[in-house]
Amino acid sequence: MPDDVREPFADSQHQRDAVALGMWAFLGQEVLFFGVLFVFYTSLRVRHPELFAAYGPRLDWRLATIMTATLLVSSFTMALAVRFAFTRARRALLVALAATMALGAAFLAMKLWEYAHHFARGETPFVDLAGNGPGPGPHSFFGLYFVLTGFHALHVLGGLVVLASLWLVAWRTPAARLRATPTMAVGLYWHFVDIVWLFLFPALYLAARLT
Amino acid sequence: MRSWLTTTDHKRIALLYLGTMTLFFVLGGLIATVIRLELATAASDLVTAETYNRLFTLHGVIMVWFFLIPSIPAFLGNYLLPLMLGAPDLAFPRLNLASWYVFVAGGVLTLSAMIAGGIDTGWTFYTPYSTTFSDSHVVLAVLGVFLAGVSSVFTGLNFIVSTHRLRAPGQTWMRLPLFVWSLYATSLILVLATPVLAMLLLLIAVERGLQIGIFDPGVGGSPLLFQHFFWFYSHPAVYIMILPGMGVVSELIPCFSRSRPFGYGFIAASSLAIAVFGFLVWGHHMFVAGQSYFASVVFSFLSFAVAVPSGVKVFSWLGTMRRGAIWLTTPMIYALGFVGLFTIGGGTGLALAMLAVDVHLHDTYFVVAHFHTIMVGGMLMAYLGGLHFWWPKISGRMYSERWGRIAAYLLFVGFLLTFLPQFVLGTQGLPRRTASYPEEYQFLQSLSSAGATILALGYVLPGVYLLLSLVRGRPAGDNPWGATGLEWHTTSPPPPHNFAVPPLVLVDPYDYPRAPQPTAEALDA
Amino acid sequence: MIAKPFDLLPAAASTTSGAVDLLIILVFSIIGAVSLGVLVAMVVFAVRYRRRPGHLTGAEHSSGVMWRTELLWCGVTMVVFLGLFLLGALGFGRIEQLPDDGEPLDIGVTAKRWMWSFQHPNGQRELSRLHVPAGRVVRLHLTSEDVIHSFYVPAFRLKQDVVPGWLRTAWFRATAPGTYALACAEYCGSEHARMRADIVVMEAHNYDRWLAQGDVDGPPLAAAGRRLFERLDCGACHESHLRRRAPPLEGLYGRPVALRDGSSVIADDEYLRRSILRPDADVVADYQGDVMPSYAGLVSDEELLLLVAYIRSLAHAEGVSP
Repeated sequence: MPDDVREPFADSQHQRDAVALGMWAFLGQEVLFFGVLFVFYTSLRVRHPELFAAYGPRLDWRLATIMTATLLVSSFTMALAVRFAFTRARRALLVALAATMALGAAFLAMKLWEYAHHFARGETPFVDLAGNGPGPGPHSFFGLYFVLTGFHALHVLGGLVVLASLWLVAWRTPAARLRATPTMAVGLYWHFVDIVWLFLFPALYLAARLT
Repeated sequence: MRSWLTTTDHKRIALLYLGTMTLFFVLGGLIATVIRLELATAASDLVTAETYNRLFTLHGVIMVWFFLIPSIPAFLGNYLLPLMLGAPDLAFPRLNLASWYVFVAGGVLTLSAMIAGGIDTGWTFYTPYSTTFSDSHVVLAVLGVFLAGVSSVFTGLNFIVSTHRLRAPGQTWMRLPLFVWSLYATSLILVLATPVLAMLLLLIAVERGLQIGIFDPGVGGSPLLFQHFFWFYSHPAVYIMILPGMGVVSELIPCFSRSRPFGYGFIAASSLAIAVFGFLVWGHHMFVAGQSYFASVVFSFLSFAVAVPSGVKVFSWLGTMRRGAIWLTTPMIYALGFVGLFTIGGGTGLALAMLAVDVHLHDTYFVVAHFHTIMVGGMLMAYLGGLHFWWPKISGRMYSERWGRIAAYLLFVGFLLTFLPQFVLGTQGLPRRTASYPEEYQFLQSLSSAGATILALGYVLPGVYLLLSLVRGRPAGDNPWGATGLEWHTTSPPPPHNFAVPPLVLVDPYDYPRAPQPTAEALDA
Repeated sequence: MIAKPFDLLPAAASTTSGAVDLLIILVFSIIGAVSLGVLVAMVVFAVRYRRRPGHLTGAEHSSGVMWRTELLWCGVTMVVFLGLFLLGALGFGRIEQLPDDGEPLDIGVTAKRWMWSFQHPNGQRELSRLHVPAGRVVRLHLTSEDVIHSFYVPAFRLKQDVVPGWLRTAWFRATAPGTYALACAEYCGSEHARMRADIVVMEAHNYDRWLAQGDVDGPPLAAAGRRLFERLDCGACHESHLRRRAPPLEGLYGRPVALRDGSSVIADDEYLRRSILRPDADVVADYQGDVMPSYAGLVSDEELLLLVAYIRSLAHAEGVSP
């Protein structure tokens, strides 16, 4: 048995198929996981369209466009990393992974800056702190905003942790023994997280401007 | 000890699950005992109403998420799936071990909520009660259940990939054992429904912990949105609980009828049909919650549709028995108990799916009785049947057949005595989840409590004689029942990598007409 | 109305309970017959085909028989299920649809942990006990001040969840005088079990006498609503004799309203409540002026019941065109 294959698989192709299937199934459940948030979004938008009209423009669509571009480029570097993992180009792989991490971290930094900005302006999700009366209000809209982008940001953060461990493994492993399967699986995950953002971006930042 | 806690052998992980789940089952059962004692009299005199509310909540949370959902998949499924596929292990052995640790962590969190003072929202966590009004430890408990959900997803992923990628040479989809089909259907639900629950529980924690208005109408949220999410998971979850039981019964009945299953394709397809339709019926929990008439009619119709594949299963099991050679062993008695009680439970489900009838019966003891008939009468019977059937394979020992049969009949009678009165309590109009009740319901409540003592005895017995069999039981041999599955082609218990020679599958899994005769035959005397 | 231990159903006391009971008995008979059939078949098979020397192995199934019987079984169950579904849906339609003979008696119901309070049209309030006349349609307008409750009268075979933030309606017509139990059916906390009330059904003339005797502690609902309407100065836009700026309220209740987005809704309790709290949600089609400001936070749940009661009282008033 080659040393890159684990029980219970017979060969590395067999293992790669299984890992890919497992990752796709995992992403399937992630779709449902985020699906709840998008239904929550739809419900609030149908019941309280006025909130989106009133508070939607408070979101900074220019910054969000830069963030979208950042994530799109990171998807490209991730795709390169997967390619280099298969060709066992170790040095290029390390660079591509590092670039992906840097772009992901830049995204998170912009997100944090944005959060701080909103908190400074009192645009928080909290019902009590904001001093809102009963009923829907800015806390409803910003509650939605923080919950949706927060869970997405957590997924980006998780992706960064996994990317870092991939990078470390690649750093320690000689090129001849590099395993492409984990990079491939993480790549699928990273693209998925980017796609979620591609839905969040128009839904939150652009919706108020289009209606 | 250490080798157990770091094992990646699916058989050992299955036994870890068995041990943990049995502890939770005992705890949930003890709580049920206190509940039944309290309900023996009309006033809330044994415990206060506050305590009672915490007890029924904890009973539900523990039994649903820490026993019923993992019971057959995580224990029997974990143990048997690789064996039935002719594989050395599941696809991701370390993920499998991780799922057990996550499960235990979830259990510890939920138990700590219990020790800290409990939770009183009901296992359904309805908002705005759970998010705004309850003063119990909701956040701790929902995070515990969230972890149990994560563990479910891990198990489901593992089963799906294993079934696709690890089948033995020659084992086509149409040569899969019916138990594998049911596990596969279950795994689809585990993977696609559980994340909805997971996110919902996180949202409850966020709303309660940070005071964000998601489900509380007072601050712009919608409690009905919560119910849609909750039942989008929790109705399929009922099929997570019952489908594996159907799979077990589909193994037991052919074996003890010494006959091929009648309509193999129909049974396999019905498992998938139930999994798919199960996603489309959640609204039948909300007929009186105020959803539109049109929505209620559609959900009612789909609820009847999901009953058709369930009916196919019952018909096929009876067809298998007809003209078979029926051997009434302990596992077979459980299987027949399952078929009978599942028919009653499914039938009463049809009554609840009828819109006009549901208006009267919704949220009454009728629903409690219906649910327990499917879960306790159905699922638990299948679980015990499976446990007795594969016990010789798992332990290598035979248990006392005489005591096994006594316990099985006792459970059947105890079950009927406990829950048939509750059906009538419901039609008479007694709402569920009440610590006290008007005097007029006293007689049936007492009858139910009396039946529960028989039921409790029925649960204690297998615990005793199964443990005794470990020291005193006769060696079982590889194949005491003369069964045809791949799991019987290896030793009892199987070695670490299951098969000395990887098996090759050339025939369908139920070749009973040419099966070896049972070696446990002497039991019958 | 104490049920005996083995009565299947409590005594029926509303005009819809007879039909529901018929359906219950029908579906229970089918469940009973099928369950009994399955049990008998299992016992018969277990005895007749028992494993014994000379009969150690079951017979092979014929594939043709299998296909035919399985498909037949599917067909039969589908037909039976379809029948049950239709009966259930039709019965439900009857429960939901308010009969249009005679003026209904409108009762406001407010649920809060853990009691029920009621308001009669003349302003009479009651706690944990509701007097209604027999033979007349009683229309309930239900709201909750805290968590979800459920209005359940077993004798009427009636149940309706009471959801905070929503205004629901339900109706019944009691057939016989007597006292019937009302229970909360949705778990609502510590004293959920004791959140009960009595529905006292009286002959119509006795009800009128009871109503006359009662020490009414407030003005009639519609009048109270009218007063609130004036205090909030709603008339500035909605009153017909002024230069009307907003859609008229006369004859509005219960009628379809065409909305700006092309859809149409029935002006029921929930619509009116929504339009007061969130006027920009459903704007009337031909209305051109500014949208009314929201009254969320300015009127309580009980006050909303009053405003709706007032608008309801205008259902048959003539609108004066500007």
